[in-house]
Amino acid sequence: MKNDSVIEVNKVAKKFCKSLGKSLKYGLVDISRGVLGLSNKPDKLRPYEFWAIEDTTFAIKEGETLGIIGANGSGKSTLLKLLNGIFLPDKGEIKIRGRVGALISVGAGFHPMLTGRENIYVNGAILEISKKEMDKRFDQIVEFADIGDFLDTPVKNYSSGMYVRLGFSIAIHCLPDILLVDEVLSIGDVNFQQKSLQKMREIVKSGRVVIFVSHSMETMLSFTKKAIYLKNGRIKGMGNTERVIKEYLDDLKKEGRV
Amino acid sequence: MNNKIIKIYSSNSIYSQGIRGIIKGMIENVIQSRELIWQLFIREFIARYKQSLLGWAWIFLMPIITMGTFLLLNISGIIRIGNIPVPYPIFGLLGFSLWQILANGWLVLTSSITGGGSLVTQINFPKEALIFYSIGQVIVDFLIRLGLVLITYLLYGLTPSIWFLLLPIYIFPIFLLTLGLGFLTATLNVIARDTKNFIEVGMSFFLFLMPIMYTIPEKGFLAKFNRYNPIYFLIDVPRSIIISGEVKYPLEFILSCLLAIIIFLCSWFIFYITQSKLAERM
Repeated sequence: MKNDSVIEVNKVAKKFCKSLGKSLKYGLVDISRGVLGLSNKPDKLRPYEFWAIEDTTFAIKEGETLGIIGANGSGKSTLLKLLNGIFLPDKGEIKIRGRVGALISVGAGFHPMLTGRENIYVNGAILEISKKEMDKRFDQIVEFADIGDFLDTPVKNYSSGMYVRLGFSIAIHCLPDILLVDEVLSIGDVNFQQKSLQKMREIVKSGRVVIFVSHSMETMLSFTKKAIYLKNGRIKGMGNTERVIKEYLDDLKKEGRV
Repeated sequence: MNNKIIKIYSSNSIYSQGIRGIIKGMIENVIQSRELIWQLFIREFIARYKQSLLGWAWIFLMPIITMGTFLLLNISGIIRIGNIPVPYPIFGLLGFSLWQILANGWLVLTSSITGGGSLVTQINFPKEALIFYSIGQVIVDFLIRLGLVLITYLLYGLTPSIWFLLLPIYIFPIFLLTLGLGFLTATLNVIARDTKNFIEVGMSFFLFLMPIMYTIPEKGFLAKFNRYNPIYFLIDVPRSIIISGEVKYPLEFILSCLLAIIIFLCSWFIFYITQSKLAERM
């Protein structure tokens, strides 16, 4: 791995199965072969399988931010999950230096019956932050989430806005070295959106590696200099954000989708 | 920045660690996630306590209903409870409590990964944490039932043997066996969601086949079957130690313990190498 690289993605591919029945069969076969240490021929497609991500190569250096754009189903979220280690690639290799955290879905791991206070600590543990550390950050989290008197109310009684505000607040107060952000900057009311955008600007300025997935070209332009345009699981364009966005929008126009 | 650990993800990144690397990873995963295991356990404990009154009442109701069933079967002559050294409520309750470690514990562990929901599909963390925190729930249930056993002893004016104090040692193997089976079926349940149903049906069937709620007959199919049934020894030996301090089948018990340890270690190993495939199958 190069010295100044934080992420290196090398010819990565990931396949999925369209048929539920086949997926069950392949799952059993793959896991049994895995246990026996036999190769699953991951580079070949079986019936009903397709490449969700294919032949993807890029690298990110220290302090860089990257935007990922593309239509629905182009493989953006799959790519983020690969970078996060939730999915393993079927082909190729991903090298990552440092701890990766994701803002893929805020509030994942919240238990509806537990209060906001209780959930803050559980979520902290999920994000690998010790209770002691969480004690220190607790007040900031509550203040940013602006949930006021609802701190000791079970989160199932929260409004959807409060729920995501708390999830977002926990996530940005437990920051990893590499942050993956999937469409979460549009949560909450206008006031909260402003606040989160402001916070995100601070995070980007602090020199962390941040990868954004968003359909908001405005977000992309204001946060990233470099972007990737995914189409049908492949990188169609890469480079200067403005140029890549133009390429993407041109494509959409050609296809008559805008 | 450059001194940070480099993680490599590829289709064979686990195997390239070698056996020693895998074993090291298994242990590290548990050590690293102990805080998470504890927090998840507390989460479930509080949530269950809040959720319903009947949630906890079931822990008491189930053994009472089961004992009633077997008493009825005994009266009607279908099953012979046989000669027991203590009143039936003590014998039955104790046997059922030990049996539930496996029967209910296995079910709880089987659905622990699928029950993780968005946690599993959205966050990268050692999935063993879900298995280990779930066994905590099984321990709590067992302790509550054990309290009920002690109350029953008091009501009859009797006491368990002094070896009761060493209980954690000789019930440990049944927990290991439960964990071992749970590791396997939790993985299977992600792929085929009816795994849990199979276990549920199988376990209620086995309860009748095993001398848990009655004593082992001297002749016939059940006598033969249970001579080779490690689960029976892992449950009945602890029960007889608690009741009378006597170890009934020492050799069989030791062999069953060894089997439990082997199943636990192998299943944990299998779980570790397959867990990276779980999120995409959810």
